[in-house]
Amino acid sequence: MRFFACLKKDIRLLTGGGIRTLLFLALPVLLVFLMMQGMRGVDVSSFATSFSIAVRDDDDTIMSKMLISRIDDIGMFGNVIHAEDETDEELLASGCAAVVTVPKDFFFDIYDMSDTDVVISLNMNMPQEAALVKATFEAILKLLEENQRASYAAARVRYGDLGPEEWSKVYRDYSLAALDSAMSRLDVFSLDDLFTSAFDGTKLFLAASLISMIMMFMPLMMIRSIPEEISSGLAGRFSLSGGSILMTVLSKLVIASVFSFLPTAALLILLGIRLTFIVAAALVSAFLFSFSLFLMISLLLKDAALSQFSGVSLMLFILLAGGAFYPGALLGKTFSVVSGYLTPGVILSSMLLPESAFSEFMPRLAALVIPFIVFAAVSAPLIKAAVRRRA
Amino acid sequence: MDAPVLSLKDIVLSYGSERVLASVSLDVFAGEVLGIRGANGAGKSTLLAIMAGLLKPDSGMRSASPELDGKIALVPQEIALYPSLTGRQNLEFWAEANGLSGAPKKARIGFLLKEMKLTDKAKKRVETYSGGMKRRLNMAAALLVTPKLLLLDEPTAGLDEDSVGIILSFITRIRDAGCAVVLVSHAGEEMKIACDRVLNLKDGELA
Repeated sequence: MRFFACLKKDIRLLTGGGIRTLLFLALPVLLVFLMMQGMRGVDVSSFATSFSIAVRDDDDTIMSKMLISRIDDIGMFGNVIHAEDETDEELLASGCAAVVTVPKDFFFDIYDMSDTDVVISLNMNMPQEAALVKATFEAILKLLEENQRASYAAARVRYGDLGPEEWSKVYRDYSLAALDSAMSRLDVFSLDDLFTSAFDGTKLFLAASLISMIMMFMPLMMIRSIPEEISSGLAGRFSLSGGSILMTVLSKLVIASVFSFLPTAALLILLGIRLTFIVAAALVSAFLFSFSLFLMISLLLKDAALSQFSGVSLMLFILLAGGAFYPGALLGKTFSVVSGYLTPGVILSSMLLPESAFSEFMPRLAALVIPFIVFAAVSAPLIKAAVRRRA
Repeated sequence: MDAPVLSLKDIVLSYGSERVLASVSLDVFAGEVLGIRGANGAGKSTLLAIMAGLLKPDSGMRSASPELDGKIALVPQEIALYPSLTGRQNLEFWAEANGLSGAPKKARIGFLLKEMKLTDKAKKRVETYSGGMKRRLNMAAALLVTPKLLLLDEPTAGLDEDSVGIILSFITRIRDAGCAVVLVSHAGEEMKIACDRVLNLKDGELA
């Protein structure tokens, strides 16, 4: 009963504060607007030429060589390293945003119109750059596939019935033409357009930014009243009713999680992003990190206005440095180092990595989980201190 | 004489090196208004918190009658209300926190709003209330469950005469209903009007 009373009160506190609350709730919308404006201002092609990628050709066919040489020629990325004996890990450690491997029989599979893809190892220290490389290659392969389908259709009309061997030769010739055409179009059509469409279409980036905002904003909204509740005697009065500060904090945790995870789930569904175990772990960790951080701040500062101001400032810093508004690399070297380990970077990484790469993701997850444990450990005695002298 | 509902025996409490209460003993009886007077910083609020069971003394004994279980109400000096909620929403929260629901909750809230002359302001947010209205609502929030011991910390501080009158008359009525009331204040006049006996707290000791 008491706990439900707390939940009801906290929902009212979150939604019933009049214009001030409305303005506060409008803040994420404003941040999204700013982010979209910021994205428009990003010179994506300049961004892309600011980092290196590595390319490995395991297919070793005329077509794979052509693909790689065209990527070289058109200056799509700052530096294209031709990988030979180096491992992906070594290349990523040397500062490449991604290692693109054209797998063996890649173009053979393409003749057959089989489902095939280049293999891209992403540098999770550079999540925004990695996202751009991934999206760009997906765009190129899509272009290639469209060209190929059109070529094959033309071949069918032209040659009609042929034997399997003859078809294989025709497909090979047409695939070469399709690739040449696709890569030429990359020259003819503006690269900027490709990048912009790849980057704008990088829903992962947008989703990671929005979700990071939600995961920080909702806990902040809920926790901002805690110093007031302790200092104004509300906590003492609640204790006399049989409640406790712990119950107050738990209620805020429940409401903040509902108001954080519901819009997040809606966003994931809307943008068609799969909720893998890695993504779920990142989201839960991001939420707990934010909640414990703001709780610790409010308990340490013991002043509602000051802790709210500090919380908002920290939130904006984490969003900015974590690459939620601009890719970290555009904000200077210092930011690019930390961005992969802050909330937006960690969430984006979780969306880029396959489920099997959990061990690779662990350091990033730890960047949220370890501070959460520290913040919770600092907060626990502070909560206790507020009630420890209770008889 | 009836047994006291609450007794403090040789209560000592310090904040760091500063001794706030030095061997304080007192008894509180049902149906009386006990006044505790003292200058600012004399330790009156600390003493009330110990009486409420919210603070544990360094030494000494606090013994409360079993009938006080869940029946102690504290009206703190601070306005212990949520400013962004309405007066009624505040009372609803405190009623539910005290286990009231349904018709009894509605009836009790309606009664207290009427007693404190706040019915027409019940739907306004507390942050829009005057100082007197906030104090009256603060008191109403403590009275949602009829207490056996009511602890009031400077309930009339900074109030106009009308609000003081409303609060003091309510204190008298609740005392007459058998409730023990402890009123802490530094204002001598209202002590004379409302209290059956008055103790002075000075240098951490009662006289």
